[in-house]
Amino acid sequence: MDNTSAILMIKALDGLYARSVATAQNIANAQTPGYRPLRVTFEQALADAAAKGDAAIAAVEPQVERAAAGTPDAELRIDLEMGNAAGTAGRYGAVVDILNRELQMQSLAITGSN
Amino acid sequence: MQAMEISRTALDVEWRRIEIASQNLANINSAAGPSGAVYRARHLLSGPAGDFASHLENGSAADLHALRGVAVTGIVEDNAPPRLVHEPGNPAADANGMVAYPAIDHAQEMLTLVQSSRVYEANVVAMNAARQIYTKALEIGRHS
Repeated sequence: MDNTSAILMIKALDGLYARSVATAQNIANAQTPGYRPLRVTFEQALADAAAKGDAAIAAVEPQVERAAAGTPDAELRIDLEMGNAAGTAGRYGAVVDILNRELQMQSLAITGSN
Repeated sequence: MQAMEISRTALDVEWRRIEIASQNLANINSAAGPSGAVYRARHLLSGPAGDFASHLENGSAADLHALRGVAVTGIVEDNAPPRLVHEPGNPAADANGMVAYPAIDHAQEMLTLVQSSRVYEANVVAMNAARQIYTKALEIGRHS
């Protein structure tokens, strides 16, 4: 396993985890009047950094922002938030599975076929 | 475990809201007692816990670690005048034979009950999604 893909996946896990926390906060405030949901972005930054090398990837941090007032996104939609929660958990699971496969291959390379 | 703690705060707040709505409905026919005080409908106020300042800023970056979910900010009493009913035979009646009953909006309380139960359920689902993430994280590096 080259180091780059491991760092990328760990950063993706960080970003997805941050999104799950923000989604939990949004759903918890479903009955707060005037609440504007939090949004987490990291995918584009991660994709850009992947082209530049390991140091750039390591510097990527998930960005948490409140939806700007007046945009359609500023209104909390609980159904969409539930979708985000399920989607984020699913993607987190998928990344962990891929990470495990790579670790398994690495382990096979070390121990041989036994 | 931050995501689960956030959902937990919402379960607590919605539970309290349901309790207060039930209390209001339970007292819908409570006439004023000998002391003359009529039960007043209560409403629970809630808002984001902790990060109140960042909640007000427009499109601002938020500190993820400062998120604490939701909290009860207060309970207010409805100051609507009591509902007066002519019941001369009632021991709680005044000199004119009128009995004061609390002014409780039945439909409003039912709406609160339904809304809060739905939001409660939504937070249970969110908590399960977070639990799934934490469980999956434990599988990193495990041989399958």
